[in-house]
Amino acid sequence: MGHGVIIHFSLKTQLLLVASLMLLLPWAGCQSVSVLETSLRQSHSQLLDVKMTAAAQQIERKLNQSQYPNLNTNQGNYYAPLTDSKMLLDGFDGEESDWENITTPWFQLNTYNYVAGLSTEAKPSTTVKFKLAANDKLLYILIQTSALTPHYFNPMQPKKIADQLNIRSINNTGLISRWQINPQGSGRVEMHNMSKTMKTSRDAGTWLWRDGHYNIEIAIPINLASNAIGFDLVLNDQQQNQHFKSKPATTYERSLVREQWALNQQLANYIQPGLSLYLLNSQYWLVGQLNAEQVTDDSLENDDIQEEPSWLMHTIYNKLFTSDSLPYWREPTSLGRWRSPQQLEQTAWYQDSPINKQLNSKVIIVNGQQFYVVAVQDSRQSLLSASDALNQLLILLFTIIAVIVTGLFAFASSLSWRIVQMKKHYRAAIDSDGKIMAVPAASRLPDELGDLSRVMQQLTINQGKYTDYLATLADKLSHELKTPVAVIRTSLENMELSNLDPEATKYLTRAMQGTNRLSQTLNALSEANRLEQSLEYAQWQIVPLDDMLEELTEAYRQVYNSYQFQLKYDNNLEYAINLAPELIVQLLDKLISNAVDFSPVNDAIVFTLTKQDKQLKLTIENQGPHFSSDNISQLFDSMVSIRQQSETPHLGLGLHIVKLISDFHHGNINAKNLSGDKGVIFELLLPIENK
Amino acid sequence: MIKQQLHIALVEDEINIAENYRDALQRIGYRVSLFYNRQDALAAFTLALPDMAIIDVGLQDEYEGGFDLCRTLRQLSETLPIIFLTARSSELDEISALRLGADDYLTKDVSIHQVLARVSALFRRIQALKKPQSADEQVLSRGSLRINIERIETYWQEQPVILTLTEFWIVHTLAKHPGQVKNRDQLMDAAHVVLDNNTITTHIKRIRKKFSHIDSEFNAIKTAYGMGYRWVME
Repeated sequence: MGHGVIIHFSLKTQLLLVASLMLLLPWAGCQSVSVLETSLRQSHSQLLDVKMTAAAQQIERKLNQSQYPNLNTNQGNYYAPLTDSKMLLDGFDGEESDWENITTPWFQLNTYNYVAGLSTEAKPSTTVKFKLAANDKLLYILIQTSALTPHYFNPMQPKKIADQLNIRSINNTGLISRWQINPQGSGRVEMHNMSKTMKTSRDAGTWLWRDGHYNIEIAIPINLASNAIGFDLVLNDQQQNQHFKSKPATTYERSLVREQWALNQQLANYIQPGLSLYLLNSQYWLVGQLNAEQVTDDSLENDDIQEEPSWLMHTIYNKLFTSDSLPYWREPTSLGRWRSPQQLEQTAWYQDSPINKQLNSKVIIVNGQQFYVVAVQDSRQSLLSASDALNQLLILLFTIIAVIVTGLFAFASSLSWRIVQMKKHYRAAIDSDGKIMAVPAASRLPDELGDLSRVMQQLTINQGKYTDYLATLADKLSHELKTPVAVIRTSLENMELSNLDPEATKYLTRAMQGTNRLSQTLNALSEANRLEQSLEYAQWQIVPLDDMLEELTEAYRQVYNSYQFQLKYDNNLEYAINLAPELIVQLLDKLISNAVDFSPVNDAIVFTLTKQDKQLKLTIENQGPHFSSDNISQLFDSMVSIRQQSETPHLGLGLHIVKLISDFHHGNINAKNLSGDKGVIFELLLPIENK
Repeated sequence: MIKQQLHIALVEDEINIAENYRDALQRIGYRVSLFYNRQDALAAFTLALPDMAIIDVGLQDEYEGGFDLCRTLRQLSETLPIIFLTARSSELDEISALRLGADDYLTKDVSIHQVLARVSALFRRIQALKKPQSADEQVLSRGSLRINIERIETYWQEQPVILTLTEFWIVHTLAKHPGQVKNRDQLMDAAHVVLDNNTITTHIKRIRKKFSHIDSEFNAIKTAYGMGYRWVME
């Protein structure tokens, strides 16, 4: 029978798996918190929506009252964000300049006096761009050209071609202003008001020629340019008198959309932690904003000293409560303009780290123009309040679960330990032959395992009694039979001594043969038992096994002179071993008697002695027929004989005695078939240090 | 005939066996008294000792009645030959018997011929002991060993070693020709007994133990495995 592969799945593991079902509790907790969070989120959305509706109406009314300029933005417009500082007109932008912190788009000035027929190579490669910023007094302008050769205005030669900048602007009342700047060199420039009959000049700013290109930084009063502005830069670099303009027409100004301080103030009325408000015009330009960050910095710092939950907690909450379907949040505005107009006119949630955001927008109509009021609300508030409770809930749940799981695990371990101990005890108590060495103590604990232990003990005791009974049965039987056999035999022997007629002698001889055979059988029956008793009186001594085997093989040669006995060992090694020599001789006698019975006459019986680490190995090889593989494992069991019926009675006790003696020496005996069609080998392993 | 004068007491509770042995012993000329229990035997022995006692170990209700009887007999006589004849074959019983001073221990599965042989061997030995040996063989000295054959005394390092007759003849045979291996048959012949192999082994063990009592270094009797024993001079 082949052994099935049994995967060992310990009780401990099983209980741990079952205990892990406890993890459903925090999961359920998270689910319910998640539901709570969703409803919170919905109510939050509704709340925001209500607030936004009110705010949008208010803003709409305010803007209508304040006569917000009606801008024609159909043909495109310029945009100026709000700058809160007074800028230094030094002709520098970039790092550490006034422009650094202003996110404002660059606009292009185009050359419209394109002359047909010019080859493409000859096309002017000069480009001009500018950007704007405004506060409530001034409109700041920074114009930048690509690399060029400057042509400055020379008052001595006013007719000579020179670079110049013309500006047109319109204010709320429709007043058109025209300005002209004629730079006389790199540096401060003046601006001439061309619209008035009396030509007036004022300080305009700086016109720099630096690193091969112009940087023109100027400012004009915002109340003259609040509606529209246009530029016409005349350059003479590759082509003479080249115009770079906002529009090809002579009225080249474009509407100016700007972020207004007044509007920001309006929005500031709705200040609230975590709320950002944006006011967009129909072209999605940002005309007013209120950033949550400013709010946080100013107002939250004072009264909200509570510790911010760590980003880890946020991440955990977001992982737990944010469905992945929520789109990721990104900065909504870029260079003063709303990035994705399709976001507007709907309420949506976005996932962001560490906190989610919701976006709500409302459309208002001011002077017939469409405006958007957009609110972006951090869900921080609701989440924080939920997460505090959640935090405690989770900690509580995990603590309870940890305690329960630990408790269960400890309990399982103790149960498993008890079972393992019991197994170990009983495994140790019963040897491989089913003999009971010592009955383990039963558990006194009043549970099922204790019961099991007590039942096991009782079973073992009973089995021990039964085993003892079986072991002594043969002996008792033989003892009981010996007396009647002795009666028969002595009677027959007496009969033999008296004079009998030949006919009677024949029967007497047969009766004697039968009695002898019965006698031998009875002896064999009690032999194993006798041996077990004699083991107690065994004398241990340290014997050179090689010398002992030399003597023995010599003796076997004399006794079994029709067989060859060979002994092989390494002469250079010590084979001293602690054993009971009389018993080992008895063991070898049995093995040799077995070998001789099976091995063909004149064949060699080979002893091989080898030394292993802490034991000696003796193999005895003969050319007898193979053991049948069926009973090779029970060869050494009592009463197992694999011989054909022979003249002498055979109870299969010989190899059982071999096993008893080998076990007594804490050795190991086994038998194998040699490769080939015949030949068997017995292998005896004996520990060198014994007892 | 001398045999006619020899009186054997057979203490055996199994009547059939007892009578079979009695018949066989009487057939070759011994006088045999049968006793079926310890008390009867003891009563008779206190009146007159037989020349030999053959005793079963278990006697009716007394599981070890034979041993008790043997113990009493040894108190009555140091030299009376005692043979145990029993169905018990355990080594423990055998050792107990020999320790009590029995001269032989036979199991009931040995043939009646062997029993007769042993009985006569025992008587022969007594005869031999009574007859003085030739004068130059009286004392045997082998190193620390000295044997007075006439007085059946053994000394090791000038201290007496108390040996049974069987043990004495085994030691004598081994020591007579040091270095020669004496097999079991030779030893049995020398001791005028017929013993099975294991009994010789038991005797050798007991001899070694007795010498070791005097000299823990005693190592003069070597085992020739599978063949027998030899006396080794240091």
